[in-house]
Amino acid sequence: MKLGISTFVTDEGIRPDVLGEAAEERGFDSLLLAEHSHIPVSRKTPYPGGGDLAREYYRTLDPFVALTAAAVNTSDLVLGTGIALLIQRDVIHTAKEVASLDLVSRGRVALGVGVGWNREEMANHGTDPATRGELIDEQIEALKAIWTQEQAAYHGKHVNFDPIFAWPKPVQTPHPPIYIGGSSPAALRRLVRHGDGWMPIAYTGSEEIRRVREWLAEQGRPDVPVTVFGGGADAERMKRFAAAGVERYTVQLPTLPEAETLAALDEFARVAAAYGTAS
Amino acid sequence: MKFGIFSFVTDEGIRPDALARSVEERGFDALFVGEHSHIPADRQSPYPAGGELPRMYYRMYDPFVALTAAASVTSTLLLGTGVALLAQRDPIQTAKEVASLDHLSGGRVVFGVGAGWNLEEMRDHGTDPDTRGQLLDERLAAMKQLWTAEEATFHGEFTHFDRAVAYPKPAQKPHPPIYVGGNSRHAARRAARHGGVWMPNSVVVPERVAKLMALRDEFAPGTPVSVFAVGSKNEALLEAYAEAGVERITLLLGTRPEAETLSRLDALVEVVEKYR
Repeated sequence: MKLGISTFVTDEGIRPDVLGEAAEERGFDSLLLAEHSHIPVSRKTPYPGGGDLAREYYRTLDPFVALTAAAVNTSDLVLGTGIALLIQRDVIHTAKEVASLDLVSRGRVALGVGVGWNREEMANHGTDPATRGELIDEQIEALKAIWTQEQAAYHGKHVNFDPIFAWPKPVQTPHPPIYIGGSSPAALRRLVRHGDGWMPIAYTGSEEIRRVREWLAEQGRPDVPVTVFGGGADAERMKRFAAAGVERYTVQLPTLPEAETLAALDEFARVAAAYGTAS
Repeated sequence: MKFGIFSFVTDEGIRPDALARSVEERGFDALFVGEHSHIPADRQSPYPAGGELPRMYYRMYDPFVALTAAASVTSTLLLGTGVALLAQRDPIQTAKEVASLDHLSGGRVVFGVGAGWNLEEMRDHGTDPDTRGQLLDERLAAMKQLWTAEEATFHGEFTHFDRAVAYPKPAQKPHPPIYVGGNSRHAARRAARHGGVWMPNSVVVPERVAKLMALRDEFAPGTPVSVFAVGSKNEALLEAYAEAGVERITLLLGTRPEAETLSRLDALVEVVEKYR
């Protein structure tokens, strides 16, 4: 099982370029970044993690800017969104951002997407929370069409465009993998139809992941790679997720200044070594 | 007078990081990159410069990805959009992209915007061409709120949000300079209205420079002019801009592979040498 880092990059923590280099140096294979475009104060939607929304939610850097910075001084690190809130993004712009980052990084992008939970946030982008599941299905199809076709067109209920020219195409063929975030029944149905990979949060648990993988096999998708977002630095837990068939486990890095971050990464590397020795 | 470089960064030319490093090393103060999100196959809008739409229009990198790569390998170079098509962009996302790049680059962003000319392209982003000027103004005003207010609220005709908390704020205070592209009186007025810089496309003959400056004096008195996409072959034109007191001449650099780009940049250094 590969081990990576998941985190929120903000203006109060380590820079993404320094973080990318430090993660790669310590043998982590990937860096996954969370996204929120803004947080409305009048937020009525409860935070799924319970309690107050943590400070970093209000301060994340744009994920494609941060991942580009992380790409420049690294060579193997997989650069992922965990997850990008596709439902509140323009699909043509997002296709170009991903393709551009895939070029800068020479084919290292993994695009995690999700339908989000913050209804007030998405409403400010003109997204109707009630139909966002349908929207993301269409957006994923449209992304793939833009990335792979010389002249892409899409006509859905929510996404509509006549044939367009759009280069650059991504380096990865046919396109960077799209990981579906979330573990609701709707997310899992979406995964079967549209996903190249699954990106559940670690809270989902190794038993549930094992069960879902069995279900995926029954649906004719036995080889869906699983990347776990936001795991603890715990070798025993890593072993349980590895046994459940997880391809990549990312350790949740708190948002801290550079020196503290490097110390935390050193600690994670020791845990990773303990896991590696045991497995 | 400053000299900048404008280029279309595509998958067929020099990489944006290599380009930026070379531009900074040669003493240019700014790198501007263009933007078109896509080109509709059934485009009816004529290319403003006339003739066929050049190949690079179809192939540009996302400007913020290109400029972030450029920022990573430079230390003083200004990083400009030339221009970002804000009338077809989400202002909340764009405010965050600009602020993120400004934060990472230590305050080197120049935010160039324009109303755009490709009506089919903007329609694909849900933008009504008829009201794009007003939309652009609203979005600039909304972005200034997001950049400067702890809780940003904006209510215009098209743009609405209440008490939005959005960090990081840009490193530059109150926000990165706004450059307005386009040669019309509306563009000049808009530059003045937003306290920015007017960035018209270069005229072709030196005799037209006076007219350009007269337009500035009438519709944007006192607003600095950063003249855009200037050809390097016409020395009399460069003289005329120098004479007129423009703040910056941004030279057009064609999209070519790395080796060819570097030798062209060397040639541009020779052109500007006498003004330094």
